[in-house]
Amino acid sequence: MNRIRVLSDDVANKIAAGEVVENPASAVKELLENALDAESTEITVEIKSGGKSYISLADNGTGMSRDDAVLAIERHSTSKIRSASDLEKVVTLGFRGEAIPSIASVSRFSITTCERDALIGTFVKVDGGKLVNVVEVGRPPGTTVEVRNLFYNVPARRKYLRSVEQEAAAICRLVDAYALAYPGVYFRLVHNEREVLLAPKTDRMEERLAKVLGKKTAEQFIPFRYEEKGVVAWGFAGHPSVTRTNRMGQLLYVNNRPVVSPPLYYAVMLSYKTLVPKGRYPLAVLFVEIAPEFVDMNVHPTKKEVRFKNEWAIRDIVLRGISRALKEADLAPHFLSDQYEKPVEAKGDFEKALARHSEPKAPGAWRERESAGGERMSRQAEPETEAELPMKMRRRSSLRFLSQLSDSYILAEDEEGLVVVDQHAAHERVLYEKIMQGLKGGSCPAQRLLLPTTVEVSSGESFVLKENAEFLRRIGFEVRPFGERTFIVEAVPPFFLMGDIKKAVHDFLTAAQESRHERDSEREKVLVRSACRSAVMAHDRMKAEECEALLARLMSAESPHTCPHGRPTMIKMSLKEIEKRFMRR
Amino acid sequence: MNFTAQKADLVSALQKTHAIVASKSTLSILANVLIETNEGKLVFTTTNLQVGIRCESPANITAPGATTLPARFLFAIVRELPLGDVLVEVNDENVASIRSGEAFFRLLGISKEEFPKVAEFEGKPLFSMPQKSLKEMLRKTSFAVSREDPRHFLTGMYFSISEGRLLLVGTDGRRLSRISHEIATEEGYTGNFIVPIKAIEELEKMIGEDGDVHVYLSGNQAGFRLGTDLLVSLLIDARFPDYEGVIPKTGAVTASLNREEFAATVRQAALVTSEQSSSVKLNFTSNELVISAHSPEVGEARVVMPAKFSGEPLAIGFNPTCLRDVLNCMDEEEITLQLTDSVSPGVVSGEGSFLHLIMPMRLPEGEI
Ligand SMILES: Nc1ncnc2c1ncn2[C@@H]1O[C@H](COP(=O)(O)OP(=O)(O)OP(=O)(O)O)[C@@H](O)[C@H]1O
Ligand SMILES: [Mg+2]
Repeated sequence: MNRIRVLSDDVANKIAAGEVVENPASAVKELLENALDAESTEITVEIKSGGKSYISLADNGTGMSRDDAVLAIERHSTSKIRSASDLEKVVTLGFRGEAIPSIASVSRFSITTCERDALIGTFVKVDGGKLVNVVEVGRPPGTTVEVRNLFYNVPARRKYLRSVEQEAAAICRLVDAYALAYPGVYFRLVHNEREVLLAPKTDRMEERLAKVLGKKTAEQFIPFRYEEKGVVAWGFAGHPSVTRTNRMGQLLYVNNRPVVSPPLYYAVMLSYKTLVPKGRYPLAVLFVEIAPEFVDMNVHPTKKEVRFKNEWAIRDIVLRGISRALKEADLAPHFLSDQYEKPVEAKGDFEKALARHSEPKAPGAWRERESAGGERMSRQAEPETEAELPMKMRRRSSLRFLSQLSDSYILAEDEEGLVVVDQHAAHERVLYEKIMQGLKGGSCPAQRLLLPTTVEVSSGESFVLKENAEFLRRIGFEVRPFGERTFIVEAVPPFFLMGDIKKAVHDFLTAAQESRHERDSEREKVLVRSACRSAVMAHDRMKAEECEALLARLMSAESPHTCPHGRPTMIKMSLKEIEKRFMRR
Repeated sequence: MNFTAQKADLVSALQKTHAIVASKSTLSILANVLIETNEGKLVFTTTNLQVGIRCESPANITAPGATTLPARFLFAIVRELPLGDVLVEVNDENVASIRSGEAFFRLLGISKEEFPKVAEFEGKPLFSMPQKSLKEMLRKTSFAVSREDPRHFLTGMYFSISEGRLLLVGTDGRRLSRISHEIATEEGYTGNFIVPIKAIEELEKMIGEDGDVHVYLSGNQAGFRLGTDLLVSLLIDARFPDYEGVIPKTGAVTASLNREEFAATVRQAALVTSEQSSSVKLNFTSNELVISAHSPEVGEARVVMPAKFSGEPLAIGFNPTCLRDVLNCMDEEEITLQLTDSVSPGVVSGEGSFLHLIMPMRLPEGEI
């Protein structure tokens, strides 16, 4: 059956123009998307020399008729859209009719394909964009595309390809990303005759997660699912104790298409704001499902960027979804667990290569697309059955005070074993929530000072201080101008009495300047965090009752497991772990 | 060094000196008590480098000498001994043998040469006064001193001498206690210094009802001699702030309150406040004081007591703990509370020279 048509110039001109194939990984991406669009359930990718010398992608999808296979080589030939209006509600991964011609023009290219009900298949060979021959061949239903000597006729491109290892790592990451989004599809990746990934079909998302990311990593994930205004945000939030120095561990999908999306990264970052340290990135697998009309995929020639009609709303929905899950989960890290010895389970050459060459930028070279396939529906139901998931979702318990260590840590126990609490971090967390609570009701208590403190600031800072005076007042600091660049602090929050006021004001100013461009609610949080930090002093000898009170307040906090700056407030050593160490097990 | 002493005498000397011995210190010599003989007496000295304590006890000295022994162990051992004679022999290696009845202990000491020098104060004291009076003054001021603050002057007691009077001031930044008393001192002497609260706390333990206290000053140290006991403290090297400027001259509202009733009413209202940082609201209306409190987690309280007052009705917030601290340190039946407005300090006074300032807390928004 012939399905492909060439788009009219009118429609073709509306498609984001530019370079489609930049490197072997982007060629693999395009071919993968075609296979997924063709409703394949088995996909095998084979590459040699990082894809530089050979790429083949075999699927068991719909296949193409002889006419279609030839037409597919033409620019703007596609079976996926017809009119300009289709561009506004794209439901397939491909839609431009650009991928095959682009790859075929820069390589020695062939398609072997057979339609499902056809008796005989077609072999089409193209060299540097020129049709070489078309012959009939036998092939089981499906399509194999082979790409040899990519960029052989574009020396400038070829010269700038990265090392075999780097290109292979990029392809591995890419196949991983798609494999995660399509657990119902069998994926196999072979590099230089070595199998790198074999992911059998499954209807259990967490099985696929374990296959792709490693079992240990997968077990740390906290599943979430949140729906609002018809938008579904679901996926798996990494444990805050497992972080990376870049965003490569964050896989984002919009309608099952892997994407690079600043607003979504931002939402993930915000959800972990007080849970991970600055400059560290948690792991996350996030799927956003949204009606196709509300998202524009036609932004960038490589399709990796998306534009939401209502970016802030999406961002907030994701933020709420992940934050809620994190709040409910027991996040205290276990300090004898393996993750502290080896942060991520290494999977093989590529994963190692990837760790070595981790790009500081974005999650790799993919851009994808979603299929309208049925497996998406079945997967959608997955996270509902959270109870079956092996993830840690225990509710929190209360802590019993044992002793204080080195005037800095509180030793306590819960039903699982020993808990070590960083009293400084715990105190910060408690104060932070107290102030945030107070702010909700208008303002926090303030204790007036008998001996007001004067603080001198720079003229720039004096402006910032004036700008923030009302907010400071609400959290309990009453600060009044007292001459050109001098301010007088007349009241402080009661818990701050022993704090270093001058330092607090300066820290506050730094935080205020750094968070200038944030939204109000975000900026306020940053400022409150800075105030809490200044209020708390390390090395406090505490009485037993004080320790107990702190523990109780900590455990009734909303997010007891981390301080507002994202460091853990407590670590656990379960009895099991202790027994193991004493070789009793 | 050999001596025989009564268990009770040793216990009382060690009790006084062992309080300041560091439980963990990087300098192991500071865990020891220096024991010296001096004309039929034993002299015990301990120090933590900030505060030093020296005291004496009678003993039968058979061989004079000096050593240092671990204070905690020595105290624990002596305390357990039966009443009666304790025989102590210390050899040249600073190993002490302690015998009493059937019990025998051997303790390893450190040479006295390693013990830091603790100042001796000879000659004329700076001033003298009855111990009882200083004790009373400290009781009314030391509670207001901050236990921890980066502004070091707030962690000490301010001593100021002029016109034959000693003035003590203690503050933690939200309240201030001030009291004065006449002293015996050189005519026309004027001066002041700040003693760390840690030393004041020890002094309060040692000071008694009888006899005089003689106070010495030398360099950056002060000495308090109480009979044969001596407490030496480094001074806080800071300027005490001009606290007099913050004492309101006249109050808009002057209330006369029954001290115990006032304290009880504050306590009742504070029952619903959950934390130290909470506040109670004092609302003065015609002949009534309404004390109320509320906390979002617990609930609300409202208690009324009669009050004689002059001036316009006024509402003001205070920390209930601060209020109760001052009321508890006073003895008068009636006390006076003077207020200016809801942001200026409240002034509590009684009959004598005692004066106490408390800074108000901001009342929650929407409440007047
Ligand atoms: N593996 C495949 N199985 C079946 N049909 C395929 C396969 N690969 C390509 N096709 C057909 O070839 C057409 C052209 O593919 P091509 O990738 O060039 O464009 P596209 O997928 O429509 O859009 P895009 O350029 O966005 O990828 C597709 O529309 C599809 O009909
Ligand atoms: Mg395509």
